[in-house]
Amino acid sequence: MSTSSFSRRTLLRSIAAGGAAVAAPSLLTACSSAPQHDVSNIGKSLAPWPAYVPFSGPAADLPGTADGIQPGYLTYPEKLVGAVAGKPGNGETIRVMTITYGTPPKPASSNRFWAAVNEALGVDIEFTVVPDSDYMTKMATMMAGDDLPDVINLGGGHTLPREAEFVAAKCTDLSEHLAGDAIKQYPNLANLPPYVWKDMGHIGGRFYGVPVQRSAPGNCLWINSDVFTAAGMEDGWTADDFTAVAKAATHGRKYGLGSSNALLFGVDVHTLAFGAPQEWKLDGGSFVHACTTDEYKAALEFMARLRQANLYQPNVLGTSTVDCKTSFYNGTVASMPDGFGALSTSIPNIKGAFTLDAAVPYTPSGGARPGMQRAKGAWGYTVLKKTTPERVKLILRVLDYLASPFGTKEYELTHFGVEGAHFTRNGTGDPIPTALGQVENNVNLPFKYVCDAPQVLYLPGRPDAVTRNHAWQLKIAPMLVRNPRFGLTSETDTRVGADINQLRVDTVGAIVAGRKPLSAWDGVVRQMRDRGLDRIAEEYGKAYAAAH
Amino acid sequence: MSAAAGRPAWREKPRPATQAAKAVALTVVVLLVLVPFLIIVSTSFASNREVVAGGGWVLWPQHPTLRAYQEILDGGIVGHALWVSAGVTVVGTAASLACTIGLAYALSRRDLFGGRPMLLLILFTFLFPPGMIPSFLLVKSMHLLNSYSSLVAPFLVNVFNLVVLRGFFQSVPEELHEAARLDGASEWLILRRIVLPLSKAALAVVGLFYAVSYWNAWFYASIYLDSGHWPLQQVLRTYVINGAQLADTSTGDASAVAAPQTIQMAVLVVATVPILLVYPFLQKYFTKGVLTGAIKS
Repeated sequence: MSTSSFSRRTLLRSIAAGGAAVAAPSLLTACSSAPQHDVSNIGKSLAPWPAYVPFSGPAADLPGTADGIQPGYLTYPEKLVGAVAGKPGNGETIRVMTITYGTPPKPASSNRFWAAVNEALGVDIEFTVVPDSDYMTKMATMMAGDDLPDVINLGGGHTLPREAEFVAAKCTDLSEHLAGDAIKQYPNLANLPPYVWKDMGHIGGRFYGVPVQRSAPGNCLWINSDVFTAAGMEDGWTADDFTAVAKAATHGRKYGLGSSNALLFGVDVHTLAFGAPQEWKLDGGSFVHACTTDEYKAALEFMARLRQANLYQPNVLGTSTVDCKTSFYNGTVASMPDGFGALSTSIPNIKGAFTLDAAVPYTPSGGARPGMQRAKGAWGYTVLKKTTPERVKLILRVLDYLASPFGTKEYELTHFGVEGAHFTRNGTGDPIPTALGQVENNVNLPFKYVCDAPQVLYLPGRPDAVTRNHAWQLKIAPMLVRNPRFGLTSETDTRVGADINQLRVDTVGAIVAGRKPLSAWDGVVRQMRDRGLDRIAEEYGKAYAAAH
Repeated sequence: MSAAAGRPAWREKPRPATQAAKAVALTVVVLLVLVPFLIIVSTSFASNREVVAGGGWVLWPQHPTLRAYQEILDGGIVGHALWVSAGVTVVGTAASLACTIGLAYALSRRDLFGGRPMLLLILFTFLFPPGMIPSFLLVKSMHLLNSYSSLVAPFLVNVFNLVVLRGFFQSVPEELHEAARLDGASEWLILRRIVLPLSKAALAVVGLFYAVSYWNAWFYASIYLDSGHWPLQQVLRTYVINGAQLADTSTGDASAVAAPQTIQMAVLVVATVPILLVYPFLQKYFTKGVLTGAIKS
């Protein structure tokens, strides 16, 4: 223990600071001694959006769009190009912190992947990974303790208490490096499409972060295409057809529809198919919440009928997501609502037992236009602790390297590792991970959450799945519904949004499971409004007006 | 009176039906405990394909495999974490016991100067724990961040254990102290030669409480340490909660979290078995502890 510098004064100071934090309701109150920062965009002249200069690398077999439809690659590009000239750094040390969904990385001293990326970047990256489940606590503690690394990624769908204030107070304003044409100094960052920046948004009219891009498709209904096609699924199906197909796919102990407690009967899929907005819609400049729309209620009624007809697997609310996936993989259920990323994780688990597809939303009765969730374009954003201009440029060069697009040597290194050590090539040139690559990779050492290239549709060794999914993406592209609050902030939402959402989740579950009548919905919507939904709508309305 | 006159009711030979019912009930209870254990161990040895086909679990694997264990132990991270946990548990338990014994013994003496205010001060921290941010600030200002000491130093004395031990020490008859003192024994000698040997049962319990809490500690490790220093439970937690697969659900663009069931079960085995092994060695003290005071002599 090194207690030498621990004086009585330090102890008293710690106790005082600690006492203040305990007395306050929010974990972040220890930050409140910092000057207040105006993070609203209202009345500010906004930094212009960064220029978009698409990368001209190996052409995709199936072209994507700048709007988030992924370019499809049937095979791995034969000739890789270079995206970065020279090393970004010169031996400096950079401390970074991101969320992780993997297991901890092997230490830098024995991790060849880490060493190779460090070598290519010309810097020594000290990586702190924070498991998703610890993210809120760890971040809040570090922010309050003012113990910040140089580079932090804020994301994964979490919003920290007073996040925007924290960013404005403690992090570097990157506008002069990123806004307008300035971004062209970093060509790989300029390759991030405009929608990504818009979904990240301004803070106080400025840019404080570099976004991590996500493609357009959001939560969708993954189906066992063999079963659904045999059950009569057709293009342009209606809600009634959907019911009929689910009925035909249900027999004995096999069910047409699977779900878990967390996936909540696929409420996102069904409400959007019925024409409800994704969380919010803009109606003449004011924000209207999905729950207050008739379409949402109609979808709930539809889902409750599906459940009454026993088309869902039994006891959805008592089923974990792991069990739901297992049931889907082994054919017990023929469909499962999940995020778009389930494409790449499900294929290896299904092992060719059936054809995996995402369903095209059905048309609701009454002729409304079916919709599908559009994912937020920015998974998160990477901010830099306040530092010197030279260091800011250095870190931006590193981020630029990490954003090198698919088909470049840099992308291959940061995504697959070193050839021979972390991957070998199969007959068609696809990189296949070795045993070492299973342990040392960018899941466990998530450089991809520091900064990343725009995603592409590439499934090694499965060109058929790429073709099918790309065709599906083109089909659903016009149906995608964006949440208009992406890129905007509301203080009330940060504060009470989670409680209001819990009320929604509980009630949706209870109504579909048949524990509450549909008539209870209106009362719950009133409760949600009382708890702050109207105020949130007002705040988003103002924020929207300021940003447009 | 019946034929069994002269024999009190509780010495009656039980009827076969009663015995059978007892046997059935006991078997059911034992199975309720054992079968989940068996499922956990069996599933950890099963192949992924078998688990998926079985709907999430396997009672007896057809083709046992060590793949799940290999996957966990590959790369040396879990191995390292195992050593960290073992070290923290051994050192932490020893240090905690030493501090708790010393403090409890002092506070158990009625004539200790300032004993009562000291006890109140300690109990105060029991009722009003400091909270996370103050603890973090304290650990940070002591330069213990990213040091294994941060898993031990802030948790050296557990007030509950202290109170238990103090109570036990107080129950040692005052006459023994006086006799020892007449023989010229110092406080230190009295503690070592008289009080501690008489308190083995309590020490075993308190020691086990400490050992289990150090072994299970993960939360503060996640706050104070970076991933290279994590103890076993925090590492294993990432296998279970996050899943070995890529997953970013929250933005709706990626798959929901799902670690293969086999890995989750293997993790359970690895996390539980080492500390379970400690119990048989402490069992005799437990029995003694339970018997203490059971019969008036």
